[in-house]
Parts: sequence; structure tokens; C-alpha cells
Amino acid sequence: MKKLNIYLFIGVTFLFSSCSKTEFEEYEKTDGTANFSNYISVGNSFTQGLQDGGLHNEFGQQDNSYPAIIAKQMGTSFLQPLVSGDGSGYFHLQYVNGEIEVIKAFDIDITTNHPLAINYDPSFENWVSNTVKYNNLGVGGMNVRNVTSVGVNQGTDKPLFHVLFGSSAPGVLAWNGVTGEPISPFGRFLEWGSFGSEVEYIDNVIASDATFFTNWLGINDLMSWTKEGGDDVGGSAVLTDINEFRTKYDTVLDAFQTMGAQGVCATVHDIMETPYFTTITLDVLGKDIWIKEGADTTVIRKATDEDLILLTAKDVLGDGIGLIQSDPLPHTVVLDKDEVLIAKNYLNSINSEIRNSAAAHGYAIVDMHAFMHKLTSGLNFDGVAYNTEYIAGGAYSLDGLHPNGRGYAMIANEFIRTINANFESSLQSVSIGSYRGITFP
Amino acid sequence: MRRIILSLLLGAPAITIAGGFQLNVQGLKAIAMGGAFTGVASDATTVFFNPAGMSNLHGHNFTFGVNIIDPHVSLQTPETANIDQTSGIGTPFHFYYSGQINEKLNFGFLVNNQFGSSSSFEDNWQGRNIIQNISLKTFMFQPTISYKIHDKISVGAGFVYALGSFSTEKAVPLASGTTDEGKAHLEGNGDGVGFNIGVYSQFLTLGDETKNTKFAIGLDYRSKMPVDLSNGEATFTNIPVSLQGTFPAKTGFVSKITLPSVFTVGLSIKHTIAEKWSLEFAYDMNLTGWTSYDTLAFDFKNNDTPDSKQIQDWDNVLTHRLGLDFTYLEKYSVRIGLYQDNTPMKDNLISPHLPGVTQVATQQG
Repeated sequence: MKKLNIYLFIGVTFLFSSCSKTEFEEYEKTDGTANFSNYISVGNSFTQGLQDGGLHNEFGQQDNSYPAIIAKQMGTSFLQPLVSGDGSGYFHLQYVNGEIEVIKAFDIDITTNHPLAINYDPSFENWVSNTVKYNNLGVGGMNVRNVTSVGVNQGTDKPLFHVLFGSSAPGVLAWNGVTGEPISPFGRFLEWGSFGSEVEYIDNVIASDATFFTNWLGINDLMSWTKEGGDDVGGSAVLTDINEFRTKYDTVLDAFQTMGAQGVCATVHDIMETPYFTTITLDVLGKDIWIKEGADTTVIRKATDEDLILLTAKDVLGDGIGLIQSDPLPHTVVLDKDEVLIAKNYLNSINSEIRNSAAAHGYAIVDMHAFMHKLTSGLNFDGVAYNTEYIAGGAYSLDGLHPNGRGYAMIANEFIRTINANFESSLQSVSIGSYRGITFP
Repeated sequence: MRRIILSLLLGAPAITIAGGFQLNVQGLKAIAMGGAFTGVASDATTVFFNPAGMSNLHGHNFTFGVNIIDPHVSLQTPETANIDQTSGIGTPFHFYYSGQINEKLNFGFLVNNQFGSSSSFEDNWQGRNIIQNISLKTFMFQPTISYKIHDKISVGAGFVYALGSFSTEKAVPLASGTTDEGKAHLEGNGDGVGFNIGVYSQFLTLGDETKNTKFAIGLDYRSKMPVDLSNGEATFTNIPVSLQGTFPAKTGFVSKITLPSVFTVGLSIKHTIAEKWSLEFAYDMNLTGWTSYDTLAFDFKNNDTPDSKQIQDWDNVLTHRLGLDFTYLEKYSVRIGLYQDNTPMKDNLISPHLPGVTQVATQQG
């Protein structure tokens, strides 16, 4: 007879593994050899925290300017001039008839404003006190040539140094020399003195008494010319003379050196790699486009791939301009290939002046030129891909020139990295996803 | 004869969360021996480890087990010191049966969870755009036969039917004036087939009835199993109005998860002094074919929804397992196991979906 063998094994296994969990040490911020007690930032609109073609703060855009992020990681107090309401007015997106539409900021000088365009807030005419000492000295439209201006030949900037800030001001806020205010409200939070006893930007820098600074000046010296299609006939947007650039850049660093401040200087990125210059291409348009080469030429020719059609060409292209030889795109919306070459050479020149000036003063360089170029080929943070594609790229704001909150956070991290590398400090980088990107309707 | 053995395994680290999403908790003795069992074949777990080993077993053998796994994992990024991964308690179970039909033929069956993983994070954690929650469950059913072709060599083969279910959630980086981020929820299930074949040989016996040393070798290959998720369902919430055409409230998706193949060479040496004690040494080497898990791709039915493709690009993994069993009077056993399980993830592709840390672990039972 066959014997029946039954083997029954019942296993109940408890695998508690709490013992194997690693508890990481909390990060500790250290200042290293740096003194962050009075951190001052100088620069242009990028430093001021401008995005979407305006200064606004409804989602903390200004609150999270890159210097404000850096200051927070330093654990130091940082006072910024902040707009209220709609600030200077700004671009936004609307969902119209199943399409996402970019609505530009209200412009007092034109009659074709979109009915939904956001105008500047009435408070913007007098949005700040110029007796308060701010930490963020970034001013929209600020060129290196504007740090001192009295007695220097610089086109229409002379001798009215108050007329600093180009054409970005709303019309009603035009030049008001009597009260000593600059033509552009972006700089009104600084002390400018009055006629006959003018106060310069550099005087505001000197008065800051910084212990630590970041300097990202130089962008506008390239950008204001290129974003207007290389038009320098009006004279308001010239490429700053390279010798003047160096002299005045030195002036800024001399000032910081004299007050004994530590700090870093950033190179200028290639503005021509931003969506403002790369969104409208012949490839996207799929047809021949006629362009006028420059203000002072009569050359009309077909656009080539080396000509950069600016984002501002969108409206006129929509009107049918540029499609026939007799009605070419105006030179102000095209940076033609010769101008691109001029701008690229100029960019290299100012960056080598920035490097040389910083080296001469013993200040380290934040290579923003290299970093922003990485963004052009694409970066990934925490599972989100970013590049320079207009809107979809996730890092640039609606104006195509200025980063959005996430782009500025990346920039802050790059500054932090360089600061840590040079001052034995351990400022913590920030998580890009904690900041706001594009706001969709 | 009926024996019921109730045992408790103590001091085991989180072996289940070793490399990838393989669940290495298939039988108590095997766990205690570091998972080195392919050349041992002393109980019904061999249906899984090496079907050919069934020929070693007489009569009817059942093994049933439930494992309670409570993993705790913490992550660190340059921005956040401690991110706690809150994973639910897992209860993978296994049931093995091996029955002798005649002297040469055995029939067996198994139901178990060979692969599975579940992790979840706080919804607003730093990597929320990669993953918020993920859960993979698999059930395997494997009818198996073994045949003793020679006194010393047996072969075995099983047909594997796998059921898999998968769900995941992640944040969609799109903000509106009133929302900060959207959310994607994907879930689906499917099935797949594979096989499990093995060879077992007790090729050398030294000594006699009362005092002997036995040498055995086992080879086992469990094939990869593609599980097609053909009827997946995706839901998108908190999406800005203007983008709801791209990320609709509901759409279908198709995906495929390939469970990897496992090839094992196992060796065991058992020294027995009859009616006193025995000492068994076992060694297994597994090659797990994680390269089959090359991408995790979701193809959405809604044409406007961008298809998602995550390159995993995992490496095949070689695992070494060592086990030692000391049994006294055929009643009391002390076992110790040691294994090294390497992570299949490439260094630059470490992702929070699944644990990916090379483990060296010991177990005592």
C-alpha cells in the first residue's frame, strides 16, 4: 500500500526593516569666508525680477527675483522695491476661441491695444520711496554706460542723465526733470538728486555699503540694440562703446572694492538664443519672407536662415507684411545676419571685459553665458524638461527675453554654486519646481 | 505523516526592496538562506526555484507563506535633506505544491507574487513630476511537471501565466491663475505568459547511509514576461482650461511592462550524520535580465496628449547568494544567508520610482 506523505509548511514571515532606514543629516547653511550681512545686487531688468514684459508681483514674481532667492538662502534680509496691483502692466495669456493667445501689455503709444491688455497700475507712477535703502539695485533698462553719465557723450543720454532707461516707459510717465525723476519709472526707487545736483547710479551703489554683492550688469548693453533689430538710428539703443563699457564696469567694481565688499560678477548670456529671437523662423513660417536690412540702407531681400526674425514681427506678419518684395518686414523686427555677427562679436568683447575687470579686482565670475547656453540645449530638473522654446520650454516668460520664475530660480542656483565654490560657504540650492512657471488660462 | 512547521524569521532586512521590483520572498527556508535554493530543492518552493528539483520530493508537499513587508525609505536631494517615502505594507504570498505521480514524474503548481513594488511620496515633494505614487502587483500561476530521466538527473518545466496590475500618479507641471499643478493618474492591468524550466542533478554522493556528503547542482531559467496593459485608463485633474484638450479628464492608454528573465546556477553541498545533524551549504548566482525594462512608455488614445516615455535603461544584474543550514536531530534548524544584490539602475538614471541601492544583507532564521 502506498504511503501518503503530506508535508505542510506554513511560514509567516515578518520583515520589519525600520532598522535599515537611513536618516540623513539636515543641511546646515554656513557662510564660509563670506559676509552676507548686507547683500546688494546690481543689474538690469533681470536683476529687478522683470518677467512677461513688466514688473509684477501677483504670484510673487518680484518676491522671487534671483537675488531675492539668493538672499533667502543666505539667510540675510533683502529689501526690494515692490510694485503693487498690476505693476507696470505685463503680458498674459488668454484662452480665446479654443486658442491660447499672448496678450501684450497695454501700450499708451498705440491705438491697437488688445481689449484685454493689462495696463500699468496707477500706483506705478509713484510706486516706491526713494529715501529707503533697498538691497536690490537692479533697474529695468540699466546699461553699464548709465552707471555714470554726466559729461559723457552718449547720444541723447547726454547731458540729461536722467533719460536713462530707453523706451520702455509708459508714455504718461515721460521725463519729469523738474522733480528729478528718471524718464523710466523702473529706476524711481533710487535717489537721483535734481537738476544741477544730480545723483548718479554709481552714487547709489556707493551708498549701499555692501558687504557682499552680485553684479549682472551688461545684458542691456547688448540686448537693447538687438531686441530692436539692431536699430541704432534713434540712438536710444546703441551698443555701448567697448572702452566706455570697460571703464564704467571698472567704476562699479572699484566702488565695491573701496567699501570692502566681497562678491561675484556674471557674464552676459547670448540673448540671441532666447525665444524672442528663435521662435519665428522660416521653417515655422514655411514661405519666403522679405526683409529690409537696416534703418540706413535700402537693401530689401529675401530672409535667410541666418537672419533672426524677432517675436515682435508676429503682429505685422499677421497683417500680411513681409510676404511681398514691395512690403518687406521693417528692419526693427529683424536682426539680419550682419547684425547677428556684430552682436555676437560684441557679446564676446563685453564678456572678456567683464572677465578681465573682475579678475583685476579679484572677484569671481558666474559664467551665465555658459549656463544659459546649456538651457538652449535643454536641462532637466526633477523630471521636468526645460529649454528655450517659447512658452512650452518652461523657463522663459511671455516676453521671450526674460526668464520666468523657474528660469530665475535656475539662475539663482548658478550664482549660489559659484558663491559656494569661492567662499567655502554652503548655501543650499533651491528646488526649481517650487517656483512658478507659465500661468496658463 | 503530517508535519506542520510554524516558524518565525527574525532580523531580516528589507530584502524585497533590493534591486528593481523583484520580490525575493519565496519561501521561508529560502529567505533564511539568502535566497540560495536552486541547488537545494528540499521543499515545495523548488516549484519556483527549480522545477526539476520536484523529483527530489516524495508524496505531497505544500508550502504556503505570507510575508509582511513594511519598507521605510528616505531620499536625499541637494535641496531637501530627508524625503520620506511612505510605502504601504506589502503582503506578498506564495503557495507551492509538489506531488509525486510515480517514481519518475512529479506534478506541481504555484501561485505567488514574483514582482511587485509600491511607493508613494507626499503629493508636493520635490520629485512629484517624476512620481507621486506607483504600484505594481503581479500574480503568477504555474502548473509544472518534472521528470527523472536518470537516477542523478531530473528536468522540470512550468508554464507561467501572469496577471499584472499597475497604477501611478504624478504631477503635471502646468499652472493656472488658480491652480499650481495638475495631476495625472494612470492605471491598467493585463496579463502575459512565460515559462520556467530547470535541471537538477545530485551528481555526487560520498560516504554511506550513516555519514555522507551530497553534491547537487541546479540550473533554472525563468523567462521574461511581457504584460500588456492594453486597456489603461488615464485621468487628468487640475489642468488649466486651455489645456484640457491636451490633458482631458479621461483618456485611455496602452503600455507594456516586461518582467525580466532570471537565470540561476545553484550549487549545494550537504553533509549529514544520520540521526544527529546535517550541515548544508548553498550558493546561487542569479542573472536578472533587467535590460528588458528599457522604457516605461505610455501611448495615450487621445491624439493631443503627448505620449510619455521614460527611459529606464537598466542593466542586467548578477546576484550572489550564499546560504548555510545547520539542522540538529532533523528538528531544529539554524540558517544564515548572505546575498549581494546590485541595483540595475545606471548611476545617472537613479529614479525614485523604485528603490535602487546595492544591498549586501544577511539573514538569520
